[in-house]
Amino acid sequence: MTLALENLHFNYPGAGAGVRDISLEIRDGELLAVIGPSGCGKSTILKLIAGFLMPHQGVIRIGDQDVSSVPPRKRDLGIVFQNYALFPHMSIAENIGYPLKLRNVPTAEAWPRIREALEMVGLAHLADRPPRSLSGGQQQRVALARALVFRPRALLLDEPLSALDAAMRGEMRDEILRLQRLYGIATLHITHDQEEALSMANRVAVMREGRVLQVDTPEALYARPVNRAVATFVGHANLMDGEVLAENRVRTPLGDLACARHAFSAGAGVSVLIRPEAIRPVAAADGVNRFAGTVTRNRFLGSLRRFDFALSGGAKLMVEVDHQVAPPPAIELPPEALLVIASSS
Amino acid sequence: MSGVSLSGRPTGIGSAVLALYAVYLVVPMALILIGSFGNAWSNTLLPVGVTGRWYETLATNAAFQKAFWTSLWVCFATVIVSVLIGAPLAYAVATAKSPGMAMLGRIIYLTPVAAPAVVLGFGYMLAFSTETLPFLGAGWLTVAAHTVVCLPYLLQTLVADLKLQGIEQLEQAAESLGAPFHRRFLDIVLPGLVHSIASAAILVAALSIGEFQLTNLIAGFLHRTYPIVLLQAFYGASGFACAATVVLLTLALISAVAGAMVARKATFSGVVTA
Amino acid sequence: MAYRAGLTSRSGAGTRAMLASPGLLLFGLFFFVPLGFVAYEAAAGGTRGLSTLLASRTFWFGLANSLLLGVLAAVLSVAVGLAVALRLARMKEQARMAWQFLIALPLTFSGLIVAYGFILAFGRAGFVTLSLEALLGVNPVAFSQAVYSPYGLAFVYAYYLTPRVVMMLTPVLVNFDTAQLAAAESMGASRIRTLRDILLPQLKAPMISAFALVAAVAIGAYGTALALVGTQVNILPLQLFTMVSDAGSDFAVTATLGLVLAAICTLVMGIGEWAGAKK
Repeated sequence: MTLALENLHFNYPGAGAGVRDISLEIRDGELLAVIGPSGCGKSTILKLIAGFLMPHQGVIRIGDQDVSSVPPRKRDLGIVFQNYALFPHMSIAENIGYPLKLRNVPTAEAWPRIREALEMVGLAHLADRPPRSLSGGQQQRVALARALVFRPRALLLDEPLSALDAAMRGEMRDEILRLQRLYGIATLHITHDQEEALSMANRVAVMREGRVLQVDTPEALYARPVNRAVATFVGHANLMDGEVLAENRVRTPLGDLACARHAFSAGAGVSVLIRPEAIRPVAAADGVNRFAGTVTRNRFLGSLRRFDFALSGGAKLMVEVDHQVAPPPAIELPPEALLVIASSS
Repeated sequence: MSGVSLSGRPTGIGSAVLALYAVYLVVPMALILIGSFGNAWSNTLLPVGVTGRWYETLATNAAFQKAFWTSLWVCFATVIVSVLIGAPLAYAVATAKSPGMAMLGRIIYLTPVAAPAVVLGFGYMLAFSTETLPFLGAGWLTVAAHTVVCLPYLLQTLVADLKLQGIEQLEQAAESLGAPFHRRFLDIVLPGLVHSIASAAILVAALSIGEFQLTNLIAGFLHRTYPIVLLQAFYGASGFACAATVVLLTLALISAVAGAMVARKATFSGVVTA
Repeated sequence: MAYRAGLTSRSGAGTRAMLASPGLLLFGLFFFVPLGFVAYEAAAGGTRGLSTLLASRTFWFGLANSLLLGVLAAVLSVAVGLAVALRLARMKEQARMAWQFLIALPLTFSGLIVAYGFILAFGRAGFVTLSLEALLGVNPVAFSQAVYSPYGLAFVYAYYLTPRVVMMLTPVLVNFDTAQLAAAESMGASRIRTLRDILLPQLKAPMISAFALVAAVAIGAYGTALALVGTQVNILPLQLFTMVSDAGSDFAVTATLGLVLAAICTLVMGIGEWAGAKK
């Protein structure tokens, strides 16, 4: 079912933190990642949807139902907690069976469902074990199975991979995606890891200081960030302050540059963005947006090479090229890759 | 036991202090035990002769018999009341969102030290010997007093365990799965607390059995507990006093062993991982 | 209203208040009511209680002795407790558990067991007293009298106070990141300097808490002292006990002394709480 947030406001009593004006919609089968630094309000959103916090303003809808004043236990949401929150005194099977028991599902019907859920996450052989005896990844799977077994209306993932080591994380990403697709369930995924968000989500909401800055597909977020904060948060970025001269020209510390067309009016203070891989090595500084300089920090990173290019004026740009490219004497900033974006939200 | 120091090197001073401390710990207990089997002990280093007669005397002493059973039922009642009252209170304190409730817990923790037993005992004498509240000397008043003395320790144990388990998140998980409050309390909170309730109950039992300072002021003649009667024995023959003390010592040891066993079990099942 | 919309889900404050109420009722009736009676009794006498106390030499000597006893017992317990905890922290877990079991024994002991054990060891005809006489020619009478002084009491109190200190400090030391000490030593710090410059500053808060706690206990306790010396030593709790047991004593003065004693213990512990929380 579709999960929708409309103009949510929440403030923690006595503190400035909280969230403001949050509107998001997660459609059936969609995975929306909410990403941002710690303290940006992403966990607050999850708690609001779950019902552990009550919004001061706004509406939360699951399908057609306004659940804003429905208690958490009646919202029918599957939640995977950061530390899994498995019940230590229950076996794996009992953990997964607990939501069915609460719904008075008769044993004869519950067992096949528990078994099915266990098999789905590949843990049928560990059914009678206590949670503590399982590895982090296995506990994670149990938490997922428990959150899905009662066919919830939507799935909420609270930093589900942060307690796992790097190797396990990749595997669990695929596992979560597989199950999410299988159930075709609207999923909200809270994370601080941009790689995780970009690789898993259909759409990503970037948050900062209690607000959603941009909601877009990962590709759009990278290619067309709305402002400086989004640009720095997603991928590597060269950013400069600029002043708009015309719809395709901008003044920067490097000089007046040709840039991609934009909608800012002349004289506006803006940020100018170019991604490291969009910068082209050239033989000489002869032409539009071309600069001579020297390569300072040359890092070989396998398939690519990343270096700092110090311009004669003193500015420095990060450049990424194919690993076979030799350090060039000059670079070009292609106008179509030079984006003019807002300085702040 | 490799004797490696905090920073890696072996050390002798620490071990020497520990050994001396162990002697300091064991000598008084050992002397009580030895004395209880000694036939005669006056102005000699150790008692002369071996006998079991002090224990026989103790077993036939009506006052000690009565006090022993009084102590046991006071202890039993104290444990029951403490757990019944303390477990819900611990839950309320551990999951408190309001600063007031957390503060209350903190105040209760501090009460046994902040108000010395002799002051509290005087308060009991004033409050419960009035015409409206003529309860001084009643057995149940001793139970109430012991509960007040022991509850802070029970509370500390249970609150620490609840916080260690991350009870808030476990409960949120249960709630998101559809559990109303009474189900969460019965299915999640209480089962998770079984081991720490057991170890806290043992602690309460040990404290109640040994309680002297408050009981001494409030227990009536009919409900004197074992320690109260024991004090009288100190002025008599040392063999008898030793034997009478060994009884208390044994009870304390039993509870310590039981406590350690429960703690081990708790560690194994992973409920308490301290 | 804003608060209600905020922090918690429904089954919140009300349920908790209900669950807490039996315990709070018990504490109200059997802790605060009796103390209230003490306070009332003291207040009913007007200034008589306080002025009588302040004019009494016995009170001032008792106060001095009690504070001396509190400080001595706390110094001894924290010093020994720290040394023991340091040693325990270096042990493997199994050995540490075994030691902690032994050390924790006195925690639940009746003060009477401790008192009688010390009479047997350090009394006039005690094992240690007579051993010292035989080995070093120590006068047994003078020696045993020392045990019955505030100094001696501090030594006895340390028996059940030291375990409290050990239990408070050991977890802190076990969790202490020892790489810090190795780092300091690699920079050339001596072992003593390492302890003084790196470990102790970080242990300060729990040590102050432990010190205040055991000092407050020592100042307020009377059971062990009563069993050991009767009412011969002039310390405040024994003074109060004597007045309480004597039917003829002035209630206003007795109650005032009770309040003063409780205030001292609360204050000492409060300082520890404050210093411990401040870090």
